[in-house]
Formats: sequence, C-alpha cells, structure tokens
Amino acid sequence: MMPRDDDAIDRAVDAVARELTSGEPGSDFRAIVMARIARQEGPSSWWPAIVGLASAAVILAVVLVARHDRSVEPRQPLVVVAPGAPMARVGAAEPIPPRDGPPAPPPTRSPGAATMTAIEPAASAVAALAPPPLSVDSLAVAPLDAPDSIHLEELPVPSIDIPALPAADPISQGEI
Amino acid sequence: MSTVCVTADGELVARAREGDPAAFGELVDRHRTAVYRAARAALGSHADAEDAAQDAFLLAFRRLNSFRGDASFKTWLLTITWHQAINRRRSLTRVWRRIVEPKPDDEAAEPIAAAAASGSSPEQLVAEDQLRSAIRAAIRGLSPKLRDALLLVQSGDYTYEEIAAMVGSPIGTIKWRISEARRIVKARLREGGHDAARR
Repeated sequence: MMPRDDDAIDRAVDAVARELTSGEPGSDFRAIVMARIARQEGPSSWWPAIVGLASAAVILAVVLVARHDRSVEPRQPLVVVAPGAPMARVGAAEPIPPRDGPPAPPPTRSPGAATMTAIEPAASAVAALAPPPLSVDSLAVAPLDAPDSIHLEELPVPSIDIPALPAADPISQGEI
Repeated sequence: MSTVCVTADGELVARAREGDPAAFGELVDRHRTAVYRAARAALGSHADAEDAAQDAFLLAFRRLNSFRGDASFKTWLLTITWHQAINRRRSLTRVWRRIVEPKPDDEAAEPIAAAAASGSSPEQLVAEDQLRSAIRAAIRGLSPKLRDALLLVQSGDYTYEEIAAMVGSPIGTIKWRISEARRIVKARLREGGHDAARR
C-alpha cells in the first residue's frame, strides 16, 4: 500500500532500517568465541597482514630508490652553520691512503668546528635504511720509485790544437 | 513466585578477570545480539557481522583489565565492536570482495507470506516491495556517517548515549545525522516517484 502521508514514509523507512540490522548470531556463537579465547587466537582479519606486506613493500622501494640515488650522484648532507662559526665539511670523504706509501695527511679541520650545527635532511632516514657500504680495495696507485738519475760520463775528447799559421805578407812576396 | 537473580555485568567482569571463563561466557550470551547488530549496521553482511562480533569479544577479553567502569560494560564492549567493524569495513580485502563478488543476499527475501497473509492485493504487494527496495537503495546511498546513525538508532538496541559513545560523536550530532538521513531518503524516494502524491 502506498504511503498516504509523510509519517507513513517515515515508518516505512524505519521499518526497512530495522530489517537491515535485524538478525542474530548463530546458536553456537558463544562456543566459537570461547574456543577462540582458549586457543588465544587473534582477530580474524587480513588487515594486519596486508598492512605488514604494504609496509615491507614501501621499505623495499625506499631502499631501492636510495641505492639508485647513491649510484647516480654523490650525496652531500646539508649543513647549517651557526652564524660566525667556522666552516668545515661534515662527512667529507676521507682521502684514500696509498697502498704502500706514506699515510695521507688527515683532512684539515679548523678549530671550533664543534660549534657547528648540522641538520641532516630527511633523506638521512633513507640513508639509514641503506645497506652497509661495500668494502672495496683502494684504487690508489703506488707512486713510482724515483727514477735513477741520468748521469753521462764525460767522454775523453783529445784537445785539437791547431798550430797557428805563420803570418804571410802578400806584398813582399810580389804576388800582386 | 520465583525471582531471577541477574548478576550484574560488573560482577561478571570481575570474575572473568580472576580467570572464570564461564563468567565471560555469560557476558557473551548477554550482549551477543547487541554486538552483532552493531556490526551488522556497519557491515551490512551477516557473515561479516558475525566475524566482527567474534573479534570484538576476543578483543574485549584481552582488554578486560583495561575496563575501568567509567561507562557500562555494554557501552565499552559496543565501542570495541564498532571500531572492529569499521576497520573491517575499510579493509582492502573487503573492498576487493565487493568488486569481484556479487552483492550479498542481505537484501533478505521479502516476507511474502506475511504480506500475503495481511490480505493485500498482488498489486499492493508489488508496490510495497518496490517501495522497500527503493528505501533500501536510498539508505545504502547515504554517506557512511548518516547511514550508521540511522541504522543504529533503528535497530532499537542502543540508547543515544551508547550510539554517541560508539561512534565518538556528541548526542546532538547523532540526532542531527538521523534527521538528515531521513530527509535525504525521503527526497530520493520522491525523485524516484515513491512519494505520497502518487497513489
């Protein structure tokens, strides 16, 4: 029967809403719940597993991106220096020592570097996820041994003395 | 004349905390319908609602020591239930299932026999069935907050205070949502031609 007034529609709406929430759980509901409690089961939901998988995928993607970035260009951490503080490079690469040579001089640091304030960018969190750096043999080439000096012995060259020719007077000899 | 002594929820909770499983079982029996219907209001499906109700009782058992008695045990339990149901509603697997599987048969078969027994003519039965379908569709088309408020209050199992505690909103907001939900549903019925003007 079609509703004849607004109240009738309200009643119809309420009735349908009650139908949508009507019902009872199964007769064995209590037994199921108590059995799950006894087994110390967790909530039956895929949600935690999905969240875990999604988190793992995100972490993996971040690690791969961080690796790619490091292979493309060297990373320079941001440094914010207090005004007036002396500048010094933080995280500067240590000079690679030669394999068999004298040790390289340490990087110079100006006094007062302890007053410097460094702010790592958020990317440091990404860098923290990166795998440990690979240990690679140094590519430094050992300096060549000092070459032997080229010393030429002086060759004995006999002196060539040319006796002076007697002075000749062409006029006195009548040759003109 | 016999008097039935009903153990208060608080006493059952205390006994359950001391390791009395039967006490918690009694709480399960006492509140299973309210818990189930709250879950059903959020999820719509009987199977999902039963799963969520079971999860809610499991969680409540684990958190029994955190129940301080500020609110009634029923309100506390219903709050846990609602959160469980909403989490399940938002779960990706549920969204996926809704995409790949046909709609569940919670659009229960109309009580044809009961309607027929009322003496309505076949035309009236068809009209009533169409109206119910239209109302059902209009309710499902509401925003989740409006739909939840309307279904919870219409189930008849909860007071406004309990509903407000479950969904975490003030009572005034709950009442407004119910009123707004009814207004929107009636507007949609009018748009669909199911209004009082048509005979």
